[in-house]
Amino acid sequence: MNDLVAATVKELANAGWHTVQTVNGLVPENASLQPGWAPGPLIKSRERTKPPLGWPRETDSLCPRCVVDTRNAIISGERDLADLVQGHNGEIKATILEENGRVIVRKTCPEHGTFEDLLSIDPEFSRVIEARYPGRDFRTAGDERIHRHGTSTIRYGRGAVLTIDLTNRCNMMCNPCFMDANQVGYVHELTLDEIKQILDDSISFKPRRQMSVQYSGGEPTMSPHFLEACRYAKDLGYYSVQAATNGLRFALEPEFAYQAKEAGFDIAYFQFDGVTNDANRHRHISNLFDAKLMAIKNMRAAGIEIVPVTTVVNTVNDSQVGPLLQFIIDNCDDLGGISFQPVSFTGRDEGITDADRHRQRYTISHLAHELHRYFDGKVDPYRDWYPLGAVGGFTTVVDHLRGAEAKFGGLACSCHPNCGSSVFIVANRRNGTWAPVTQFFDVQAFLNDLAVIADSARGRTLSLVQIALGMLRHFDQRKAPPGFTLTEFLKILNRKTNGALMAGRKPPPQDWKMLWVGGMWFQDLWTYDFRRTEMCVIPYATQEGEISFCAYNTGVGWRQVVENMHMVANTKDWFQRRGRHKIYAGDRPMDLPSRSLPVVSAPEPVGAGAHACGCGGH
Amino acid sequence: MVHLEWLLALGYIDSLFAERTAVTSRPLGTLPETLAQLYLQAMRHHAREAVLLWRDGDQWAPVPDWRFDRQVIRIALYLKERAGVKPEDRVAIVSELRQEWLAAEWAAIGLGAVSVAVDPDLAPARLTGALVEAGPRVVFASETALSKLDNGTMSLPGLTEMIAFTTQRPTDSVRTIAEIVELGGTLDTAERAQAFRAYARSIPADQPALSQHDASIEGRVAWQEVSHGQGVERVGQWWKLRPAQEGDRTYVLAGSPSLALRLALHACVADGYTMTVLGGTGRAQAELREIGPQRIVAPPAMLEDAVHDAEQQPPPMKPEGWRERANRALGRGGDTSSKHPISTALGGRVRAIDPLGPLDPLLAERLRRVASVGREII
Repeated sequence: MNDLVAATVKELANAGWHTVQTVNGLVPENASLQPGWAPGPLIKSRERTKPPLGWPRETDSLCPRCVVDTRNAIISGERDLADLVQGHNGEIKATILEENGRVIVRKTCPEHGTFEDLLSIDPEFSRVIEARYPGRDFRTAGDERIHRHGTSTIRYGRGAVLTIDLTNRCNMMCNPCFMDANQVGYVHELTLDEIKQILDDSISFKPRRQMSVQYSGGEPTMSPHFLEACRYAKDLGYYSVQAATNGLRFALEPEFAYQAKEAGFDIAYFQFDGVTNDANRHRHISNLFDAKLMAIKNMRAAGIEIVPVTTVVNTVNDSQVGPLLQFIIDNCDDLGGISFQPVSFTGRDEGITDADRHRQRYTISHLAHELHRYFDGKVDPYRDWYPLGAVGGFTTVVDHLRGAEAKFGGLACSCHPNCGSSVFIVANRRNGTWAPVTQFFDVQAFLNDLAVIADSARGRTLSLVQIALGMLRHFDQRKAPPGFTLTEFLKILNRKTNGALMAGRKPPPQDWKMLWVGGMWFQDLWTYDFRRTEMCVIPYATQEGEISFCAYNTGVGWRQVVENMHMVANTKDWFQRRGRHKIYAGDRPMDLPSRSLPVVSAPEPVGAGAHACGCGGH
Repeated sequence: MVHLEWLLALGYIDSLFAERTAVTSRPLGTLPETLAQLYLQAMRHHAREAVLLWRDGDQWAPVPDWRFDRQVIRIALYLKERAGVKPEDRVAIVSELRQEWLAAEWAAIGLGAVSVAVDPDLAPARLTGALVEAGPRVVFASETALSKLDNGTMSLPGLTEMIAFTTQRPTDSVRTIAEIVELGGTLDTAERAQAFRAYARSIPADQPALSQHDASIEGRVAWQEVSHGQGVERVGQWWKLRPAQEGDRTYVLAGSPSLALRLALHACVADGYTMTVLGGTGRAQAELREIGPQRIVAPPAMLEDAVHDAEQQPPPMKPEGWRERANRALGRGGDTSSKHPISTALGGRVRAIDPLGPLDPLLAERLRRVASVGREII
């Protein structure tokens, strides 16, 4: 399509949209559907509630010192778990305010004094992100057995990623490590029956969610039940099965990658901190980057999607942010995007000094500005970044189109706007050309259109027509990178949605690929905000119900409490009874396989007529 | 990662150029030098939804390639690390054919040990005599065998572990196969799994792999034994005789497997295509109709029953028309009621039959009307 045709199509679509809306405005809105999976009718955009946003504002937080005392008292048995559920242990008020061109959080504990930390280096960026937040999802219902964690209880939303720690064992000794793997002196590892129970429970209440399951740990591939757990989650109907992995198992054992894929494993949420061995030095394996490349090769050969995850620590690896995104773009054939996670000082980092904490603190606003700087303004902090919750606009329309008979609600990520933001970019795998989607597609205007479509709640056909018009009128080919057309846009959307546009079929790999660049900022005791935890969309599913990610890993420390309650052995006993596992640490290199093994080792075919390969291979 | 079904209409034209991305199994078709290499080759890059299918109560339980491979590795790691099994040690399997039987056998030969099969139906004294003669480091035993071996408490020279193919421990000193797989699960790290594979790859072709107690010779203990190389040669012969096609199902009904049957099973598991169905005694005919296998390996008595029942059935009401004949000529399934009654009794798709014993010539003649009948597997 040349620019003239594209412009004509855009204008015609615009005219069509306005014509439809003229008629639409004359007919009263239809009532929202109430699908069986939902606790009430689908929420119209004006009915959505929002947490308190903007600043200055007051919120509920925690005293970093009181919390640790409370946790230790519960673990040692001096205090009862009920105190944690029913009480307000360590809770204090905090104020979020703008000061000296930054957004900070300040709180005072009567016993331990005042604590202060940084939330954003750019108030305007944070203001834009909060303004783009469409509002909360449903309040949960019938979940009393699953969500029962006092002030840490999740109250809103359907969740997007259900995290399950399969084991706290790990084959690395990283610093930072938010769960203090290999250091706590005990083993907490789920049995297969426990994993199945947790997965069953998570779809037992409303809204019944179409979530992704993310197995985590420790290193989840060290659990003997990893493959069976993947298969069970897939059989139950979970949207996708992921694992937060360091990838060493896939690097060392290519067969495992194939088997994981066959068992149902879809996406590796892949620890990836830098594009050289030196940039990974803080993980204490001197050739870690080489191992990562091998893991990528093996996983991609098996058909596993990979999303690298980088924990960004100021003054440690913050300079890697730009090179990492460039690496993702250069290798977009193999990688689906990248998730940057500004450091959260928890686990073995909870004892950090104030000076180190202030020096190493990194926020999503740092990330937005660093990418802007590194790519000479190509990624705009104010135009390109959207809160993760913005996807809720898409989900509402999908839920509407699926109708009242749908068994699951669509995948929604309606978390607090301070929890995470992202940019979508398109990249050409042949010539390296790339651009943020928001450069040529007016996402905010399209989201507004989707809200109109969902609110008016017309029939399926009319809704589809409006969606098509909305897409066409907001796509501006003149601003798109050279060679990128609406057809290419649709193709990559289809691949990104796992073939949803084409009844499950994916087109052959195209030159263009869409990449997700996310910033997900987990809380720690200094930045803690209960308004965020009650809307958590990445709950930890445990033997003690589903707990907000931050309440589990930081907060009052549900992780330590749950793990102590359900530990299966102390580490020494475990090693004696079950055998030791290898831990790669001490700044030494790990032995890597020198080559991949051939699929078939012997040359001579037998019974060639029947056995000759006709499928073209993987 | 949002479902965007609402874009179906716009995506339709693109779908004309789309390709299916389902994971498929790859045929092997090449013969390595050893049985251990054959196993490694079969388990690499294969994605059969069920390499084995067996009855678990009222339901069929599929064992996909990945699960079978992990079972084999975990049993092997347990045998090596906990039971001290070393290359050329003997691992005895005293059991009727079951899915764990195959996993235990692959595990043993992958370690370079010799997998020794002993018929569990032998009288207790002969069974004990066979085991004493075999001198196994580890014994896998079924419920039938355990009852003849003092529930596993009997002592044999050199024996370190008795493992039960049962759901409950018969005694405290005997572990169940499920416990072994579970304990092996935590030993199953990338490093150990790869070390297992690396060793299995290096086993020489002349090393003994399979041994079979010959129960037909009364009064003394006699053994048949094949090396890795000989075993692979026999597998190659089976592949030539019974070439597999994608989606093939082989139905096997057997008690304690003979050496020839064991090698036939290796051939099926390792060809990359075949789903091997382990049938249950007394349910064979119903299972055959349910499974519709292309190949049947069964004792003559079962085949005779099937033929007898088929011949008792009234003839089809309407004569076979051109459509049915065309379908039959093209090898398509379709309505089995138009097939030969014997074929229908054997599931409707059977291409080849291998009896587990001498076949009555008249019975063989009748079976040849619907399928190729091989020499007996004994």
